[in-house]
Amino acid sequence: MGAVVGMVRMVDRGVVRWAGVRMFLLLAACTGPSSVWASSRFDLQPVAADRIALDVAIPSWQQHGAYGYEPSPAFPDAVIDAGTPDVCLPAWVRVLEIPAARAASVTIQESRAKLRDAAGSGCREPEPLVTVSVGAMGERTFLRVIVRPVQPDPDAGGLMTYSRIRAEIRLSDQPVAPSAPPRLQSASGPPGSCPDCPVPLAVEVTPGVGLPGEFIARRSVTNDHAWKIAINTAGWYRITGAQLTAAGFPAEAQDTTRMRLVTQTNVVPVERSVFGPMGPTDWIRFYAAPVASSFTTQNIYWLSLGAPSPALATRSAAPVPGWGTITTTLQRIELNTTNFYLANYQPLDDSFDHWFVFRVQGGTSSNIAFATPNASGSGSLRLSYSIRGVNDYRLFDPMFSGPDHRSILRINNQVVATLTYTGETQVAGTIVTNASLITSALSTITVSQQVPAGVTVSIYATALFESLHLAYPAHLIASNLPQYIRVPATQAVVRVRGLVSTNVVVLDTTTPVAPVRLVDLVFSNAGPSWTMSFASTSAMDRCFAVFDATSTATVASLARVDFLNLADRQRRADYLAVVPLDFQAPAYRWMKHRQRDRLEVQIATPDDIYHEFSYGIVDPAAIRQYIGYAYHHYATPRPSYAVLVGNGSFDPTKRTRHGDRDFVPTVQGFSTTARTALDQWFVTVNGVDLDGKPDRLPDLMLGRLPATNAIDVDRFFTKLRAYETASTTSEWFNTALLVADTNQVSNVFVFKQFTQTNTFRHLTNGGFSVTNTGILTSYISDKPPAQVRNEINGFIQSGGQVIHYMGHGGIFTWSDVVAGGVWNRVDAEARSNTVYPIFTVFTCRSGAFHEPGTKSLAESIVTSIACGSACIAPTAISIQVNAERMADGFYQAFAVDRAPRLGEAMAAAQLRLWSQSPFARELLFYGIFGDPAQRVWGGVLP
Amino acid sequence: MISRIALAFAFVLMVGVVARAQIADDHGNQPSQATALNGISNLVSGVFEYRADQDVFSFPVLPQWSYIIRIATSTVWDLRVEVVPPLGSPRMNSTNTVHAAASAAMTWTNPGTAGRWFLRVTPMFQFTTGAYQLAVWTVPADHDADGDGIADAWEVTTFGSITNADASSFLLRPDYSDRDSYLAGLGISGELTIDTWTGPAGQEVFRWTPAAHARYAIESASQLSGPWSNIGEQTAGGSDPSIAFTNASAATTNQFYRIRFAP
Repeated sequence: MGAVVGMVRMVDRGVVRWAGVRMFLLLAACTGPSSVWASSRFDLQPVAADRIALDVAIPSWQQHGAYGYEPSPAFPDAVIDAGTPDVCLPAWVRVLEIPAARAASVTIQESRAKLRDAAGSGCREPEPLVTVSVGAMGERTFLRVIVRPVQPDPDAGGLMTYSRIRAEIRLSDQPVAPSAPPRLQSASGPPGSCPDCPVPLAVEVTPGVGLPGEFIARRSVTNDHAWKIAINTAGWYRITGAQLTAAGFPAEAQDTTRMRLVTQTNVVPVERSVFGPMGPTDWIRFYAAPVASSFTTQNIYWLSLGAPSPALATRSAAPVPGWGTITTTLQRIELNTTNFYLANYQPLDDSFDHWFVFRVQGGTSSNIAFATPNASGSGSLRLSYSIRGVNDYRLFDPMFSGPDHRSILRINNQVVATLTYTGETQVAGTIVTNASLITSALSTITVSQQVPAGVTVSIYATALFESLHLAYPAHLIASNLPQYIRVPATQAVVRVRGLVSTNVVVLDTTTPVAPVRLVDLVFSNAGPSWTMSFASTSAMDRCFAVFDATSTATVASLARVDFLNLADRQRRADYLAVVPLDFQAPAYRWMKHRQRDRLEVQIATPDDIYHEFSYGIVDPAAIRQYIGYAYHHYATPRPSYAVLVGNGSFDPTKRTRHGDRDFVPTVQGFSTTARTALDQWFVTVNGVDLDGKPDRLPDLMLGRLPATNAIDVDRFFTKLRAYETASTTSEWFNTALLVADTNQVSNVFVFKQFTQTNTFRHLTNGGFSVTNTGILTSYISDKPPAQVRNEINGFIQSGGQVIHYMGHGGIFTWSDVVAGGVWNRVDAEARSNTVYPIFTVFTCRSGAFHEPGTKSLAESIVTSIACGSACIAPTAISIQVNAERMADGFYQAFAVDRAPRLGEAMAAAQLRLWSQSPFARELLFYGIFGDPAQRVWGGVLP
Repeated sequence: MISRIALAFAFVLMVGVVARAQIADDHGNQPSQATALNGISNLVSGVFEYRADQDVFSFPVLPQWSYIIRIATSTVWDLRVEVVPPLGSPRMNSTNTVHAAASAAMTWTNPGTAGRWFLRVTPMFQFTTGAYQLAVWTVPADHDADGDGIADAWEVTTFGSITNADASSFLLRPDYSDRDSYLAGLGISGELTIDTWTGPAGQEVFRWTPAAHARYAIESASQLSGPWSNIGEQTAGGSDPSIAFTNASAATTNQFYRIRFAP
């Protein structure tokens, strides 16, 4: 809750440390007429279509203690670069809008420097004198020029200050080579080796932005329609003619010689009851594999007409005399009962998914029970673990030097490992020990989390289990089917006992899209406990599946899909709406309203998009590629707006057993303090930054309505329409309420001051009256919290255009000076106003829609029956200085420039932040909750 | 040696063919499956059976004539109609019912030759299903006051009045009636001529200057008197400076070829 003290270093760059230090005037090294300047200059002058002249002139410098220098007078138009890592080598930035380019390079033509004293001698690594990059924001292109006129001189051990830098900047149409795909959470395959059977299928959607040449069609069939088959688990499936008829499959087309079954890009072999036209009881059978995805547990197959699927291959598996016999195999079980997601644990580390299965408090022990049926008790077992320390005790006691975590693992009371580690280290490994430790159908693994000597606070010794797997030798007994068996690379006869029938189907599913049916199985003994033998020979481990031939699985759904052909390049749209059919009626009215507002609207359901961009499998990467494809390939003018209608969460597969549906998924990535939803990722589809990743400038104006039902959408649209169709002369336009939190932490966060000097100024410059009929202020530092709450509620009730809040905040609240916040979700939901203002919330987490099972304050504002028509808010804790930049850009565009639509003011806010800090994560996690095309000055025809 | 290329001109009405869909769909989704409208004053009903459904109709058009195209909702919430040229792209004029209570209309003037154009009707946003109605009729006033089958505007521009030419007059060209010149998009100066032909016998590439959106049939015969066999078709876009046809007959004997305006 609240802003972060740990971010002071970023806040104070160029502000705190350079204030109030000694100053003296240095004479400029004037060598000629061109060196005589009245003031510092940072000029960018286009001299040709692809060339820009840079001219930096600094007549004198001010020294700031041991930290370095700054120009005197200061650059009039440049801002301090917030992304420069070393505060003693300051950098200044100018941003110039240019017609077009995809990259830029710089050639220094002249530079004049002077060696200073030893100040800044700690700055040892020189940086480039000038750095240039190009960012794309939709069809607008910006050149960002960073100048670093203070550089270390390693030989002299001091600093060089530059009085003149002239350079030529060349623009190029050649893009910066993209780096590896962004490491956002996305559908990806299983780890390199998968010890599990059945083998899941990876979703082969590499995150991309749909750039020309980068986009690959991800539609499994070329037909304009096909039958979508959803499966929830691996299995031996059967589809009958009657099922096909019920799904609208035309009777004349029910011909097994024309049916083609596909998953992703793989044609799947099938078994047929008849080779030709089908009757109602005829069938096709096939093996379907599960999917490996962070976003869904459902795999998708497609049935269409075309070149038929091949027949399921068969292979003789007759036991070979003389071969060894396998009667046991490693049975693998996984602890997955208590999943939890720790968003703020090592938030900057994208190398793991931040999901855990178990937590053991320091100083305690936990018993974890595993069912271990058919344990043989002979040979070796394997216990694989991945553990992370939850805390670093050195943060509590900097003098501490020993390991602060000790985990003791026992299997059925026998110690199998003692692990000591320090801090948030990951400890992973596999223990191989005697399988005789497990002899019964239920085994217990005990984790004792000891507190090492010297650690005085036990919580610091707590451990988090990312995973815990047990693989033990088990007899091959298949009394319950299906049974999945992993057989090691060998040449042997596999012997499976306990079968109740000989009517089984055995498939080799090692390659899940090309299974092979084993024939010539040999059965011995007699029912009701048959023994089956078959031969296996391979240089690699193989997966076998044993199914009951009389009991095939039933697909989760079978339905006809008519493709919208979203990749049709003749399409054109201004406004891309992603809307589930669940919200059809109210969303339709909303989009019709938008179309009447002269924006060409295109609606696609998430499923429509998955069908054509991720083979039908749920994956947010498909939505991004769809938006990128529309941006790059549709007829011009390009789309400018995108809206996601529906809630999403960090837990789309319900690992935490919440009840919320994931209507439109979101992606998780890091912010400064926690992993969070990064919705702007969906619309960063053009431009590559210096790090080789897509630049953080959104290319379409994005909004999300995190609705959980159609009523949410209906309420929102009712308010949106009321706002937009109000007369442009309505009295409540040009009215604002400014709310600011108390300042804390030695005035590091100057919420009131910023609001009063910046936001207030933009409003007055834009014509808002300074009287109480125009701008109202309610500062928590000046009034009792209850009065502030009453003033907020009163402003909403009486009708106003915009409410601005800056300060500490949480998911449900503004300010934490009183329990429950000064204003909160309950207040928002209790409103009964009839004029629905826009909220701008430059605080922390008020827009955390991705938390399942609850509604954030921003969600309550826009989906409650009254309150607001839109809300701009972050999903994570934001750095104050970045929030200020966004607020500055927003209110200048909104009030002074009179941006006609909300998204344009938001884009100005993002551009302002990008100009100073192109890698700020706030660019990705601040968003519009509502319609990005909302007309903020009314006047739309009803 | 290959024979000279004969250039012929004829006018043949084509009859639209409705492809039989494999599934229940009252009107086809592609121009090749279009439901043919017979001419003016058509009123047809349609149903969008699924959200991705699009119903395509073809209708005969005359140069510079204007047509009123009207759509009306029945049970579908809203719909859109687009005019599609013979080549299938780019889509041109469109209207929808979003701005009106239940119906919308637009007037469209054919910028090309005589031929068949298409109407593509879709549910608005492809987000609903239901029934609708479509009507197409010509704008009656002043288009062909003397009823000679030639648009008044073209007639006045070309001949100075609406009564100087008709289907039996040969004022512009001795071989083709003035009405045929009008239908083929040939004005006073325009001619349908082969600009170049290259390539070996049986693999010739013919290139000619087309009229906007005109459709041509390419025919060959061993004798100038025929019989002529169709060896291909080619359709022009709205502003193609030239179009080409590559002969794939690989004929080794002397052949005559002709390119025929075939709307």
